[in-house]
Amino acid sequence: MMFPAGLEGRYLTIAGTLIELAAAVVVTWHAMDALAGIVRGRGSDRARRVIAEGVLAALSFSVAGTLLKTIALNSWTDIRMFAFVLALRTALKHVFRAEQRGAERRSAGVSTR
Amino acid sequence: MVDVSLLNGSKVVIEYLARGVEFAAALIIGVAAIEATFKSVLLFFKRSAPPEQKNEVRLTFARWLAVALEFELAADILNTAVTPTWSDIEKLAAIATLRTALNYFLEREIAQESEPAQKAAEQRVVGAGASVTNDVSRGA
Repeated sequence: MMFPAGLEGRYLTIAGTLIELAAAVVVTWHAMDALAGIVRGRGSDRARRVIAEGVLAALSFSVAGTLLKTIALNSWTDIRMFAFVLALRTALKHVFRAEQRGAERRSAGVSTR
Repeated sequence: MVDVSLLNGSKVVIEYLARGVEFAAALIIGVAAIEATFKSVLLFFKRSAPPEQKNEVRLTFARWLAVALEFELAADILNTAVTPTWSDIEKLAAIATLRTALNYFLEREIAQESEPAQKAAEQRVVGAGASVTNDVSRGA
């Protein structure tokens, strides 16, 4: 594991890691919430929605964390990785949004469940 | 150094969390498979059951698989949270694509199954007279 020699770089790396940890906590929390809902028999659709929300929030967090670390590390591999994660996050957000719209349209129309 | 130990420590904790979420996904698949097997065996011995009931078993199982894939997605996001490798990111992209595709086809199938009017119209084209009256009376 490489770290920049400068003190600010080290602080940026620590801050980035903390933000990424927050992302992990968020997604774990949502997964536990979804699992608890399943155990209580609240249905698969609710579980999917809860996880999707957690995944989106975590992706936003981890983009912020990775961005901080990218400023500090500044190697091409890290930048490429950051770009890929950002693209993935954007694509997932669009997909989730579209699925949510579909679910709303269905519940507004004839009940399908 | 403080930051190295923080980084390594958080990586270890997150790996444990990811394992837990993956276990949850496995649990869901396992329970759903047992449920689907049980229902299938019941339907197999009840020969007079309408085909809609078989579709219902299949769709319910597929819905739980979609939930499990969502858990897998969460686990992969955990794995990519701190110091991701390219392999982590590729796995994340693959799972994201899979879950999106499965959800898309699942929604389409559910929509098709739950439109009795459309189904009746299709059968009218085929010309199966008895089943048309059957469907229309059930749909009304």
